[in-house]
Amino acid sequence: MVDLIPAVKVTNLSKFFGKRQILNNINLSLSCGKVLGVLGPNGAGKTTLLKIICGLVKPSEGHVTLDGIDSRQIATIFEDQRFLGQLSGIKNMKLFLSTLGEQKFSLEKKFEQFGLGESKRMKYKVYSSGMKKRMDLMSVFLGGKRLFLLDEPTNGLDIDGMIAFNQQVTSIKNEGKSFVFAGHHSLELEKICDCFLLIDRGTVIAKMNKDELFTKFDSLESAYRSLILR
Amino acid sequence: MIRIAAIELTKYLRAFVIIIICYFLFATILEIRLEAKGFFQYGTFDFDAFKVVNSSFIGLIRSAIPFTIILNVCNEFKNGYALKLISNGLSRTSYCSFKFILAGTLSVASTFLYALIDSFLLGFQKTAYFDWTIFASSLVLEFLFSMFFSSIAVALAILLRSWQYTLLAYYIYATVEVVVVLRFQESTAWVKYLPFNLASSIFALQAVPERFTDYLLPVSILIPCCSITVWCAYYFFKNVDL
Repeated sequence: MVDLIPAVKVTNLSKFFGKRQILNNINLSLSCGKVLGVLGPNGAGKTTLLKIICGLVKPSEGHVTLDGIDSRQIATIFEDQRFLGQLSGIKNMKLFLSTLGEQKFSLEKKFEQFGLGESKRMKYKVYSSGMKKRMDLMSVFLGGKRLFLLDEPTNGLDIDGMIAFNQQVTSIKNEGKSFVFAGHHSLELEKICDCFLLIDRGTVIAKMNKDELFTKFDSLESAYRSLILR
Repeated sequence: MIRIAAIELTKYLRAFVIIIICYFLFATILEIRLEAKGFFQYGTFDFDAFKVVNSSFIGLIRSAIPFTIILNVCNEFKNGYALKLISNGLSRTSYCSFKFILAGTLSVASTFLYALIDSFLLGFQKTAYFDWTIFASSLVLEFLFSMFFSSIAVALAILLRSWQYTLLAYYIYATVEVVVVLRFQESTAWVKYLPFNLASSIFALQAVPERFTDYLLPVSILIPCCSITVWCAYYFFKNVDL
């Protein structure tokens, strides 16, 4: 992975929670318009890595450099972050965008586009997990964001939602925006990512681009099996 | 700022919050009805009537509003909404500021409620006497002390981010202060300058500053106390892992 002007550069990053080391000397760079897939078993440190990049968690050592990307241009999805249950979907989205100072969108149309047209006035707490995920995706794809940090973004999505998501990522990627995906589904990552980072117990096991992956292995899953489950 | 106040108020106003505030308002009015016998008998809104109104109303600004603020702020951390805002570009400093704007908005609302209760009681007034000076100073003090208690509640909620710990910290401190004041007020002079007690007793007109210089000691206790708590909240929240 040779990147001349990286959008994100992570240098010698380590993180400790108490005495427990979560990330160990991570180095990576991601250029504009690229999609990085972070793959690893549960507890490998994928979410922590994403949280450090967006500034939710402070690194114990090392640093993250964002080239020309303001923190307001980062969009994230994390499993443990939800909208407010007592408000309707559309009210939630209005408040969310308004709090972030985003420009006004035609939200009614967007709710239709994301398949939530009929449920936009329902309270968020009665949404199914798939509908909640659609809301999350809508919130990240609405603003003028440049870096997308998505932790298991397709969990709970139906096939229809997955197809729409993949199309959205491809079109946004072509605008020169960068993505970091963390996930477990190797097939899905293989399909949309340009480069891959395999981590286990906080340590980078391998980093490679798509060409390197298919030169050495049959698939991302076989790379995962031979490098992590050996 | 008005836009942020409106957003924060929309998130804050929930059924349980309205129930708690209404309950405290009802309790305040009931307490006034029971305590202000002189007022209801002679119908004169004098110093004693204000004393009863203020000492009853202090429960709302010292307990009810901080309670609802703590639940509101901590709930945003519990369901991850606060983290969603911060990880999507809202700075931590702005998040803190928005919560203090909420505290300010609620202080304005509680001042309005205080004026409303006074207006309601004026309906029972039988004489023309009404001490506008006490009313005006009570309005100002109500706003300031409401801001004081609400800011401390916001700061604690941001620092601890768990409603259980925050409620414990706030109410254990408040209770300990009451116990210390009740136990030692006869023998030890400084206990009456403990911040919560000082604010409450000034608002309840138990200690009435007469000259401008009389305000200096309370101000020099309450403002640093509040500022240090708020600064700690900003400082630690800026550097903590969320």
